Amino acid sequence: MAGGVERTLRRRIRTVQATKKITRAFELIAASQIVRAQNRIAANRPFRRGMQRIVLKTAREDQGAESLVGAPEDPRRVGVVLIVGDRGLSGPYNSSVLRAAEALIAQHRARGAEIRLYTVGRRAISYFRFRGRDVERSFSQMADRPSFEDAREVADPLWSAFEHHELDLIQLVSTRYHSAGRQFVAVHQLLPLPDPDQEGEEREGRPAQGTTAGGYTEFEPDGASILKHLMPRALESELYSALLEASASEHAARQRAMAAATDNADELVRTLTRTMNRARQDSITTEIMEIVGGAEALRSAKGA
Amino acid sequence: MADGFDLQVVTPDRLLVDTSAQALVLRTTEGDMTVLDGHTSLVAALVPWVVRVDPVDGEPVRLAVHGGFLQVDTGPQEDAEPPGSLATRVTLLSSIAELAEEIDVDRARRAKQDAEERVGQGRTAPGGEGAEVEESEARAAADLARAELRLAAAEAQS
Repeated sequence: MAGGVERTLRRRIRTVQATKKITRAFELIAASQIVRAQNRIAANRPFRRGMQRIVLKTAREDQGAESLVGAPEDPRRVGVVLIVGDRGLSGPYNSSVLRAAEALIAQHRARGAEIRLYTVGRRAISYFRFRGRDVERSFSQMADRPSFEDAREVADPLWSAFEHHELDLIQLVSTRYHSAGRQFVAVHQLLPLPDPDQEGEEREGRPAQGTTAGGYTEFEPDGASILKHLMPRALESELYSALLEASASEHAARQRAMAAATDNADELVRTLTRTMNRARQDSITTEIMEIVGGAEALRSAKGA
Repeated sequence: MADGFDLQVVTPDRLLVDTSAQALVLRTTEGDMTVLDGHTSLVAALVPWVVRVDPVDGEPVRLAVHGGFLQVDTGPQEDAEPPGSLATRVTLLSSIAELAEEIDVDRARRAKQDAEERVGQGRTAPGGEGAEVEESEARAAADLARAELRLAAAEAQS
């Protein structure tokens, strides 16, 4: 009877310990991935900065670029791109991006704008399928270790939709990697190019770098054609950086979630062990009481 | 260091060249050009070509640059020595670029052969028309051009 309780508890403790081993392994894997992802972000930084600088320069110089730079007044057709992971077990990582995207979409819908969805990551596919939402294009298997080719693949349909005036505005919802302890979901305008003068969220260490403002600059070929060449490349570059940051954020989120799960498993083992010990002690006490009681009964029977 | 300008050749994953250079020779969509210290500020689109970098110290370095952009920025820079003096900063951005010395010649040769075989194959095959054929044809041509550029860069370096 009492031994039964003890046995069930022992079995549960073993299960929790097995789970703990798994979460612990996930945690370690994620931790090692973070470092790699961080290095890739660092390696990408010069390219990204250079691209931003050159685009900024060209767009500023070229007066005909009105429709390519700045925020459209009342965009009727909006493309929303979102980046989530392929897998779960990463705490609130996926759901917070999806929630932010949902809010953005609702906001555009309220204005009567038409939405086209582009998603990266398998988690988004199942999420939107479950809700019966149409997704224009979805990509997967690039969230873990994104390559520049992946970014290009995502950028292509976006650029062609924008170029053919099928979309007035393209926004990106993704997780930005700030540091190992800080990641946040942000909405970022991809196309038209965000107006650099109004962009408040500029990164540190980039204070109007390389601006020989007012200086004469030559363009080969002319500014307008360069910009046309440049924009799809700039879009790729932005998407690539976003993919890298999202991947680093996902690993960081997973590490945190798995560390919490491991701690939780520890805690669970501790309480279960305590309950089990108490159950065992109880059964021992009962047994002793029974023996003592039996002996006492025997003795008094003899004495009588 | 006299007579040099800051040059960076950057790809999405790597800073390929970061040096003080004497000259940079490349080809834009408009034609060949050489960038020297004090070149006027410029933004240019590049065509796939073998780019040569002449560093202030050391041997010329060649790169296979598969298209990209060039930004020359001449003017007062924040970190100029002495302050306020003019300096030239050159950035070459390319989605795909390789140092000639790192190119695997055998692999490039195989890729070239493979691409050569594929070029024109689509059209001669039965039912060889339509978008799909166009695409594979274009891809083969692009692969071929890339392999040829790699070989040219590796050859120029040696």
